Amino acid sequence: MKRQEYINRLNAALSNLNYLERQEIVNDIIDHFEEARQAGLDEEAVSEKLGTPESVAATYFDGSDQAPETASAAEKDNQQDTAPEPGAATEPHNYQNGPYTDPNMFKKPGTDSDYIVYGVLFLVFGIPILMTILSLYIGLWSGGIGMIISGIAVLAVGITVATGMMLTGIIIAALSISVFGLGMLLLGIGLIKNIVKLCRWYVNSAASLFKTGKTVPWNESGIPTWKGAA
Amino acid sequence: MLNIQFKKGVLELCVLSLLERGDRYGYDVAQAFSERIHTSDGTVYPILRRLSSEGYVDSYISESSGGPARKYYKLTPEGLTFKNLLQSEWMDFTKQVNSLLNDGLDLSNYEEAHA
Repeated sequence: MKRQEYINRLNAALSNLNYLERQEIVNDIIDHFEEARQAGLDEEAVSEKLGTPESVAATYFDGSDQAPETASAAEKDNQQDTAPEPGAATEPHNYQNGPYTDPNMFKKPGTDSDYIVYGVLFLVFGIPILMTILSLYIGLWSGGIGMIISGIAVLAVGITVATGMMLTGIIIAALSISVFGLGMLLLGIGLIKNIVKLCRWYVNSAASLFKTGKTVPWNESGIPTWKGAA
Repeated sequence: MLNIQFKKGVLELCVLSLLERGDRYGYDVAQAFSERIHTSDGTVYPILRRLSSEGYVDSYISESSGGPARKYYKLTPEGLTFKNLLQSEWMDFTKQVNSLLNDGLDLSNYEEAHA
């Protein structure tokens, strides 16, 4: 299994966790792939040694209703406890009665002093930066909407003129205007979609940065493409 | 082959023991495991995460030469205490099991000794 497929399946299997928890886990696995690649291992071999994405994901659940799809696996594991089978290590595993039962296992990202520092930093730098970004966001958004409306208007004018005036020269001019309007329309739509993608990436990266010290890769780790965001 | 659940519990002690000898990053821990214990590499990360959430292990990011920044794990004083406790329990447990095996699984001897 290739790295990207592995990451996608891991993300899907961890979908019951919130974004930051999921991202931390996925980042660990991405780092693992990268280290293995530098050691000369190919992605297929690394995937094999890691175990299936579903089995890795299952080890993070605490046996509660967070992972209903693994309930049957838990029953299977209980049977395995009495009659373990070779190769079972790669099967989904649920530590309902084992050491992974603490529901707070994901709830200690930092100490209290960390939060105080984060809070002060946010007040001093975060709010002004956030306001600037918000203004930029609103400006770009308005620009995009404006371009769409202008595009529709110019397109409409072009079509109206083309259908109203049957003179050849005017038709050509009107069609040109229509093409220009269509271009503006597509430009506006593209602008807005990319703004949405950029903003989602920024928010996720900022959150991940606070939590793990790493930003989110642009095109992996569950960050939706604009098709997914739309 | 050891019961999987049992083995996972013991792996926690193994991770703590590895970290007692020095800070390590996830892949490094996984490799140290795969050299000696038959387990998939993916089992290491939940253990590290749990130990971290319990305060037995701290993590920090460190640049590596020619590669991506690495997330290193470091044993805390609480982790060292916990590791010593686990190790003591493990030693006691294996001692009892060895004793049982050496007695040819004669349970009557064990029951008399612990009566």
